[in-house]
Amino acid sequence: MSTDRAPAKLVERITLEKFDKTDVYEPGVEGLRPFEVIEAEIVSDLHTGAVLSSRVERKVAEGA
Amino acid sequence: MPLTTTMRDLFAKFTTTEDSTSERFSSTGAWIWVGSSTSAFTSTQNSVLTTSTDPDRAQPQDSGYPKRNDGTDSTGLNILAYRGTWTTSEAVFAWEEIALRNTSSTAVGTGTAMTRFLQSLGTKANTQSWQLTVKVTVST
Repeated sequence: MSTDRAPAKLVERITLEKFDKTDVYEPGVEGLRPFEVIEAEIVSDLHTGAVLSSRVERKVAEGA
Repeated sequence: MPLTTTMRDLFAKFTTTEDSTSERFSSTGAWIWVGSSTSAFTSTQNSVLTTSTDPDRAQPQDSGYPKRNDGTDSTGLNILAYRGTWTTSEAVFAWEEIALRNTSSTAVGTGTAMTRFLQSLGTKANTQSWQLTVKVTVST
């Protein structure tokens, strides 16, 4: 049996949006914009659990 | 982080329809947990590891979630998308870990965590609302 096939991967991606001065998030209604957005991704080998790649990106709104 | 062993077992139950409705990661059954632990992931974990007693660290799904593909990705893959929102008074602590679970219960051994994701996300202030989207994809 060949052992050179690419491993099945588990891709996990999160997006965190941070809003200020509000108790209720109503996108599009109140016109709110996040003051910071964090996106992170981890790709791991589904079989071994080894992390194959990872990245984090932070975006901060102007004036925040 | 890879799948937990409890989720591996639940996939098997899904396949043979031995699961119960309460085990499904549905609009009413899926909860996103956040915590402050930075301990490394191991596949035997079944929740966040934080010792916080804040009952609002677990949030149910925002309206319309989960989705098998929420439309924000250009591919046709089976992207499981979950989203929760924490209001100003909720989960006011340092966010270091995330777990996607099928229960809001803190009871040991209850429910299944699909994954536990470690990432420093900052300390939530009580003047802020945070909205978190978690996407999980198995690609072959």
